Amino acid sequence: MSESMTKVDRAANDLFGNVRKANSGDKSAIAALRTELAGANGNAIIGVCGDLAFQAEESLLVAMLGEQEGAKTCVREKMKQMRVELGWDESSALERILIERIVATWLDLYFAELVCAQWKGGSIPEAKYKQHRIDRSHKRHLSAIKVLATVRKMELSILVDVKAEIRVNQTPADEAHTASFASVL
Amino acid sequence: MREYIGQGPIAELAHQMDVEERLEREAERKAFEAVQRRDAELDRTLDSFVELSNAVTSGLLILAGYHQHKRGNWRMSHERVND
Repeated sequence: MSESMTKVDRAANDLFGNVRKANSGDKSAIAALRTELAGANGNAIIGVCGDLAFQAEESLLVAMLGEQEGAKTCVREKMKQMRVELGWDESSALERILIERIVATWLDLYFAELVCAQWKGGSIPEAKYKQHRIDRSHKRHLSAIKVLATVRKMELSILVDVKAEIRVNQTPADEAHTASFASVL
Repeated sequence: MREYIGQGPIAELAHQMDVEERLEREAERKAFEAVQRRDAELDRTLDSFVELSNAVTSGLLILAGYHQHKRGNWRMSHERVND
């Protein structure tokens, strides 16, 4: 792990701690939160969110489809279509993270259902495990949808300037997928 | 459990079938364990992203003047809006 990545991890841990304290009304934690999310750390955290989403999606695609590049391109195209349907182009930086979360959790659910559908018998614990995995993925996907709906309902006008880049299923041949997170919340 | 099935070619065949069945079960068990390991790895990356996105969302909502009531709904917290 690189030194800069360790710094980002540390900043993320601080963020978790400050969110908990700030939610209970700690004013110094609110001030710290403002610094973390508006400054260079904020940009780095948004960037890490994008990287983690990218890693999760790519790992799922490899687990699902292995070396079948054509099939992977089709799924990536579907994911791109989902982003557009969820309003990617008109969305703020925060909303884009949440859209990416919906896309990533959809892919995870799709994979869990595919594995279950292709299952050719086996032990009862194995069947239970596969069903449990679908349930968990489903819950995670619904939660992702709920968070985006909540944020949109609140029509946030936050004075936090978050500028960062997110990689969205970027492949060398598909640089056009790179989306800017430069919009101001 | 052991079952006596005599001796001779039939017994040898039965033994061979037992061995193959055991190997098959062992292979299935190993494959299942590999699937569980792969799923755990996939979950780790996805969960990191989900947790971090939750923290960023919560942080920005707090800065916008909201607070989360008992880990449930987000409510406007008037006293903090202008802090």
